[in-house]
Amino acid sequence: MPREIITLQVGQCGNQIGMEFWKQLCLEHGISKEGILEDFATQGGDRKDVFFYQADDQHYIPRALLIDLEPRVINGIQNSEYRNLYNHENIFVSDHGGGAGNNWASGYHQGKGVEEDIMDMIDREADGSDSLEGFVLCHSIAGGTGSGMGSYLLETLNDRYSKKLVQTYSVFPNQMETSDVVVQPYNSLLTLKRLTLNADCVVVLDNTALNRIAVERLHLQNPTFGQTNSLVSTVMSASTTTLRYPGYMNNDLVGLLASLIPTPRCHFLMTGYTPLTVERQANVIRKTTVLDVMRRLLQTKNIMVSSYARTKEASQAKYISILNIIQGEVDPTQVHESLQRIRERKLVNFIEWGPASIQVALSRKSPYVQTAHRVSGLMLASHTSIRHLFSKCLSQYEKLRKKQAFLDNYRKFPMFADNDLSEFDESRDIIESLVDEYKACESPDYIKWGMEDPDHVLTGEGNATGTVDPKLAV
Amino acid sequence: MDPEAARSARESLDLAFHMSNILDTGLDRHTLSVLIALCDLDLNPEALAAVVKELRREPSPSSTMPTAPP
Amino acid sequence: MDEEDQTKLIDLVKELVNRLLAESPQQQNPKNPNFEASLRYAVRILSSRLTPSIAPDAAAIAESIKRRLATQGRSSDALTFSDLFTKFSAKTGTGSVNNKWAVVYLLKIISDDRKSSKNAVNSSNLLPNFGLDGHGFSNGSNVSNGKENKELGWRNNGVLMVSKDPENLREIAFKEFVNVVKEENEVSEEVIVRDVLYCCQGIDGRYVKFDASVDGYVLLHSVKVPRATRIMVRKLCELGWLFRKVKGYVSESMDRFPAEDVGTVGQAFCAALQDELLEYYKLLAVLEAQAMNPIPLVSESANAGNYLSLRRLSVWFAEPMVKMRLMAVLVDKCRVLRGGAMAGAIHLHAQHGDVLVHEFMTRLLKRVCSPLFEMVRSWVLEGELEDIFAEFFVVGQPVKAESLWREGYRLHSGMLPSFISQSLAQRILRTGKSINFLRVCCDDRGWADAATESAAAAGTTTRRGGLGYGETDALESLVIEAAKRIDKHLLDVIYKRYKFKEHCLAIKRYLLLGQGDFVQYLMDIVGPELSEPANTISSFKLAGLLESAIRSSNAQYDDPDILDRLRVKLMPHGTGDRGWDVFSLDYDARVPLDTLFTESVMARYLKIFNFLWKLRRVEHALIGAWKTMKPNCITSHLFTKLQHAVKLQLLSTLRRCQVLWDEMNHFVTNLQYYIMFEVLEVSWSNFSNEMEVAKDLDDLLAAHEKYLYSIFEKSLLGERSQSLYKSLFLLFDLILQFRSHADRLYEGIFELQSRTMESSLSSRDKSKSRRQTKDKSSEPGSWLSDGRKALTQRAGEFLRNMEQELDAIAKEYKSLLEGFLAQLPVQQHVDLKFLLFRLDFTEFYSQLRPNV
Repeated sequence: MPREIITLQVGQCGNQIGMEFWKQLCLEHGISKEGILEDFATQGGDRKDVFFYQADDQHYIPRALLIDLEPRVINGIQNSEYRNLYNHENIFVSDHGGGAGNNWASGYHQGKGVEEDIMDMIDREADGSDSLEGFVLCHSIAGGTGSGMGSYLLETLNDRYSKKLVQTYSVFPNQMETSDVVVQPYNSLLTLKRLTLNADCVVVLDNTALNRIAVERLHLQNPTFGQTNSLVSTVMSASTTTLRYPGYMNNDLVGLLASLIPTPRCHFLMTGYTPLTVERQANVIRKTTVLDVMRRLLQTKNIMVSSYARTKEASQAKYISILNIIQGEVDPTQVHESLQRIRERKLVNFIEWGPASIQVALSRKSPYVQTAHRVSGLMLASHTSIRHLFSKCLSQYEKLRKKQAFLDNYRKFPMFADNDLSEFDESRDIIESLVDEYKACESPDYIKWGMEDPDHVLTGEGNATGTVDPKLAV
Repeated sequence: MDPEAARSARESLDLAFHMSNILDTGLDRHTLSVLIALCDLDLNPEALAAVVKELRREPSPSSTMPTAPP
Repeated sequence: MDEEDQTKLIDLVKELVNRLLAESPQQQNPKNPNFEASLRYAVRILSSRLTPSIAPDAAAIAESIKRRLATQGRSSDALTFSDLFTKFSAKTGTGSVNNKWAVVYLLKIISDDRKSSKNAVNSSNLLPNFGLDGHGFSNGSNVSNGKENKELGWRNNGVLMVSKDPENLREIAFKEFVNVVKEENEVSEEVIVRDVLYCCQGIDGRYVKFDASVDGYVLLHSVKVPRATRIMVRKLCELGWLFRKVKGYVSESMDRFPAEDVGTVGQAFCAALQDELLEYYKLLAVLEAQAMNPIPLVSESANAGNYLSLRRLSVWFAEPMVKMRLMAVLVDKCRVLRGGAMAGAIHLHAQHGDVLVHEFMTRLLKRVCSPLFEMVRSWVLEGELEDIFAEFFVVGQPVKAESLWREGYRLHSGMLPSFISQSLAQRILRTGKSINFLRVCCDDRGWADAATESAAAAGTTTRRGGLGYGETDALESLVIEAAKRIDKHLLDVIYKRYKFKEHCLAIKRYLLLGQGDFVQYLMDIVGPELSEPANTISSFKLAGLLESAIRSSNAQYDDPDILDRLRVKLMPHGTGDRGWDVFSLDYDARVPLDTLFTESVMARYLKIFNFLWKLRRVEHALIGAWKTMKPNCITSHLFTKLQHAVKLQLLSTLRRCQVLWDEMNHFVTNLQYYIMFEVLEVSWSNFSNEMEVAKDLDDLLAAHEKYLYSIFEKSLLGERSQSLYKSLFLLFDLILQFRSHADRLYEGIFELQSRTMESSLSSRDKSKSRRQTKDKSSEPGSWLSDGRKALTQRAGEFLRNMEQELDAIAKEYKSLLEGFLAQLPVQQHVDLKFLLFRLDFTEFYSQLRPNV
């Protein structure tokens, strides 16, 4: 009963970061590109069966589903050195291969069309595990397949596997560049609704921040997708180390997430990682102590979500929870000292309506991967400033919506047929109330928040009292 | 003295001298021969030993014996 | 003695004196006046007609010399000597030495004299001087004056009479005095002196006899002597009294062994005493001979030498008296003592400022301690207790293998002589114990090499008798070398062959729940079983579940030997106990590790397990609660169709539940972090360091004890943490109670939700329904149907009740937690500030109550 986790990688971005993730996991567990355990990988102590299963011929096979509506990326994987790693039955590319045209509605609709095929694959994987813990979805929220089809899958999983955990690694679009996907704000909003309602935990990977980190921290002129994706895979593999190297605590996903997400709605996590390197990059070797690592993890520049907060708002922002996963040779006595220093220097602001603390998990480092750093650390945190990212999404949506731009592409699909754009409004309301809840968490009176206006809070279905902004109603 | 007796005497003396050395008596060969002769005259060996001891005595403040270095 | 011989004798004496004096360079000249004096002195000694004090048995003397040489460690000399002697005694006929025994005896005495004059600081000081000075000699030619004079000399017992003027008035006056003396003293002094000498050999004399009433030798009252003489006799005869005592002890002991346990030390003591007595006999023999000489009158005293008066005797007795007193004291002290105690008692007397006493004692102790040191040697090098008479300061007792280390051997402080320090004794004890432990418990033979090496390193051969008193340094270095190597070897065996560290880690992994995945599965699968009443639980079934938990976790890759030792253990149960209360894991340590993991150690491990297991169970319950209220369960469900008041109620109940959950989870999680970092990992890291530097099994035992103690105390399991521990368990129970309330609440909510779904969305397509809801709100009429109304009412009631119950739990929780937190800073015996620091990291609690 290894508490298996099934990974669903959907769309171009989802498959790219998923691919990087599996590469990293194979390295850390000493599994070859063909899925065979390397001769040197005898040290044991790691748990491979959470993410892999063994075929009859002892091959390790990722518990992964590769799903896309267009074949480019998946073909790339199938032509790569890793082509024999995956179970070919777990690869789904739509027959027509035309993709979703960066249209959420198309992705969602096509998802519905192939629901049966995909659910068969998922059921088969689930049946193959002893005690399935949950699913991890890798996708981007801006395009068509990852966002639209991903959204559909989230709803379906929530229905079919309501007892299982659903975690997502969701890539948010780069807000600094003009995207070739003009409908990005629509797609993001619609996906965010599903992430709010149908996921248990969303790890927010903000391309804006990843790019910034690549430029500023890694000194790359024009970071490629590959380079930012390797940052993502680093985060993904680090956040699963405690599951893969069992210790006293945090041995399962639910244990890891429960303490991070005390209030169900606020389940969007930011990540930070230090020290950062990208593949084959000779970085300056830094002296790393536990305190260094923990302090750096609290610095905005290492956080993979951009802060759109203005100064005043930023000072109001509070941590709801923090978990630091420290890897490497760590003297456990240093943990306490570091925590003390952080508290003394008031480096961190926590919510005031309940007790909170920085949780620290120590985890082993893979013996097969050489790193220049003695200690590295990943921070998973729930921070109220993430609401500004959502506000930004909202405001971009509002801009586009005001212009009534590009809505025709959506009206082609059943959900928006007959000019029924209430899905947009509903989504907007939900995100707005999510932003409000995060804001409420910044106040000591969170417990009383929403009591005057319960509808607004509990809304799952737009505004039940019908107070939709008349301007938005078309 | 016939040569036979002389040889026997010398050998006896040799043997005695050897024993004397093992016992660390500090006696030279000649003195030893004198002592053997005295023993043969039936003198009490304890008395002879006393003489040797007394006359070889190390000087000491309370002794009126003329000093003789050990 | 014919004339020729006489002449020859004189010549030989002259030659002898000449030779002896010649040894000193400034006295080469035979005309030296010293020569004359010395010659006279020599003649006087020689003419003292001392009879030898031993039988003229050359072979016996040679044998004794040989033995002496052998005991001095000069065995090759002994052999050479024996060989020489055989040849020497084989020489017969003309030219050979006639008086062979005399020659050998002479050599022996001279040799002994030289040795003792080297050892003792001029012991001759204590001997009376034979008036060697030239005073009283009118001329120096007396001796050489003629045969007559010489004859006279011999006849007069060697006292050379010097012719004096008979008309001398002083002479006459003295003669008068002599007569007076003779009249006054019924018995002559010579007789009394001879009596005293008898007494000093433990034999009654004619006039001086043992008087039991005064417990001493006294001069018969009937004998008329001056009071001073009587006192003098009494004083001198103390020696006899002491002799009796010593002699009595020796013969008594000799009679007793080997039948009775005098012990080897006692035997050595007797032998040493006997040797001392032998020396004493020799002296007495010389003195007896001297006592035959008449005591010259006062007038003659100036030139009379070799006689014994009581006064002279007291001088002669000075040294033997000291020795004899010492021996008597020792005999007294040791009468009831044996072995180490005896050596110790004797040692106490060796600390004496008087060099004579000190050396005497050292000589004695060397003999006495040799059996004792032999025991030490064979104990630290062979682990053998060769102690049939119970004399050694290490005593063994038969015990089971697991208690061998702790109880098998101990120090018998009564038998520990004070010249062996307590720490050295401990070391000696441990070294031999280690050998026995290796032999009995570890089935090891490798220690023998270590022992050989140590003996070589200490520079002492492993043979018997290599050590003696006064060589405490050598003993210590042998012990240290042996201890170092044996201890190291033992630790090697414990670490490498018996994998101590691996077993400690295994205990940490399983009994202290370090192997998280294993613990989780175990909790999952035994959970349902453990909820049953304790008396219905089958340990057989649990063992099966343990097995499957091992198989499905990473524990499966562990050493089979380790897994084989992991067991389920059910504690004795009371009425009403559930499986949770009695379930435990046990680890079978086995010989020899059961010396480290004793029953009491394991009992404490089990207590820690029970605590950690309970904590894990509470954590598990909270995680379970989170799963029922997890984000996509709560947020994805639709409650829009509820009445406003019910909605409000739902919201507030849910928030109440979530916030309370958060607080409880914070407590449990941080308690877990505290346990992991501050308790388990820190203790382990200290323990690992101490394991690295442990030099012997005792160090290792102490380190492990410290490790266990630290975990035990910090987990609040100690005696002094009772009240904290109780509060903690109240909190735990409350949390478990909360969990069942939360479960009920969510069950109710889900039911409510499915009912409302049923009634409103029965036949509609999902996506359409979403749109429909909005329409619903514009048709409030449909909400007023009877079923819905009842449902709404029931829901409202249910939620209100639940919220009240949750409020009650929250209130109780708050007060319990406050109580617990308030106790933390005042704990004296264990540092809990780390725990408080974690629990109150954001000062949430201290801000609530500023006085904390």
